[in-house]
Amino acid sequence: MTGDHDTLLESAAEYALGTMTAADRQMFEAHLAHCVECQREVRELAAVSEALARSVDPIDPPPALRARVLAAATASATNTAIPISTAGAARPVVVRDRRSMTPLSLAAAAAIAMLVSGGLAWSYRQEAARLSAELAGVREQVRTLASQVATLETTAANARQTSAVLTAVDLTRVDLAGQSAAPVSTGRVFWSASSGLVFTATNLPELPEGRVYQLWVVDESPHSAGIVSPDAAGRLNVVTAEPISAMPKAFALTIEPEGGRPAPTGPMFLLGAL
Amino acid sequence: MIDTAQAAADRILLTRMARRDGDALASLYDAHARSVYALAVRIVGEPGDAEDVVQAVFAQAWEQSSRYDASRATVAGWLMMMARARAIDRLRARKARPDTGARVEMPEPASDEPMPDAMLVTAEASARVLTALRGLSDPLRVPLELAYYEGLSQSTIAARLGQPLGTVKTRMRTALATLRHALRSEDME
Repeated sequence: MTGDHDTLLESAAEYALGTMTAADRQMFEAHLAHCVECQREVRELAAVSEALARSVDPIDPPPALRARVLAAATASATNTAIPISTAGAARPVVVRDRRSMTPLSLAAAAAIAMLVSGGLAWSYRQEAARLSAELAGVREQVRTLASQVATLETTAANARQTSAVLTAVDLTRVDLAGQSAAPVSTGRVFWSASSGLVFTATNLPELPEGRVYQLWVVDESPHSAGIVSPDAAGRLNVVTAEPISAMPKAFALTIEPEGGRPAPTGPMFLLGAL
Repeated sequence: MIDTAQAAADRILLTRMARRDGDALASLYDAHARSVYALAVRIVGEPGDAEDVVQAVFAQAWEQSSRYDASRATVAGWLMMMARARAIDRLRARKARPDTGARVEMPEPASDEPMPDAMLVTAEASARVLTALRGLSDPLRVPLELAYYEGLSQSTIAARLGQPLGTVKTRMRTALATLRHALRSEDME
């Protein structure tokens, strides 16, 4: 459908500028993998983006920045040198004043010194091996923690965003009713032009393989607010920082083929008008 | 160094960086830090933040040097796209409420067929594009600037300007077409 593809081609601009929402980007990249025309469009727009970036007159950064950047970058996890601590080293050897020693004692002292320094080297190697193992363990912990932090950050961001919408002074609430395909499902949208959108729904049936729910914000035409997935109990909570539209007239949930569509093609599941 | 020679030299630097050659990173910094810093200053405004952006960009270049793909962008283009993305991230972090939930992501299209090397953008081409941008009428230029220098999505721009989303999409497409024409007009590389 040329109309459909025209819409996709227009999306190439948002994609190339990197401002597409994650859901739209997933959809667009699925299309892009097989569309040479859009690939060409994206490449050209990326070149325009680069041209704009490089059109800014260069400025000398502060000289101190160079050392900082090089040190920080090369000290990354992939090539950290193992620091050797002296914690396990032997105590320093005390050698008595030479003049009071017999030649035999000197030789003995020299032999002892060699043994001790050999021992020191051995204990350094042991220490290095121990620290290396410890470092590997710590890195693994850091990776786990980093991934936990990422999850928590997402949860916190969602909570903050929900709060921002629900306390917005320009908040509008719209109840969505189940259409003939879904008489027991219900939904509700909280929408704010300044803060974004919160969508909740209940009793959404599980969809067959290859089908997804897609949320729409409708003004002169429907605009996708992304693909949404209910939990096992058929409940849904979606939060966006995007208002999606400046003047919506209605919100709708439809069922679309996997990957979503740029415009609704499937049956209307939930619908509500302002 | 002229652009094509710089592009080839840059690719070699990346290969050396992938083998953990710190001198190569230093050379890359010396060649491109001024441009990265300038763009960061343009976007975030504050020199301290701009310095952090520069650090983030070269750290990312170091980390990802083995994954650099010459068919997606020239090294300079790659660095500048990273610079823009990290600068916009920093800009949003400073605002009380971010304008969009999405991080600026650089386009990374997968392709069925092997791609030719990315288009080289010369200094002259950049200047032409900037002139073209400044020559646009306000209604065409403003949405593009909001998207480019502030990383706003089209729907956020529409809400901010009080225009329908369709209008913003059309105007941005028109503006970009003008810039593309300026980019292409003298050399075909």
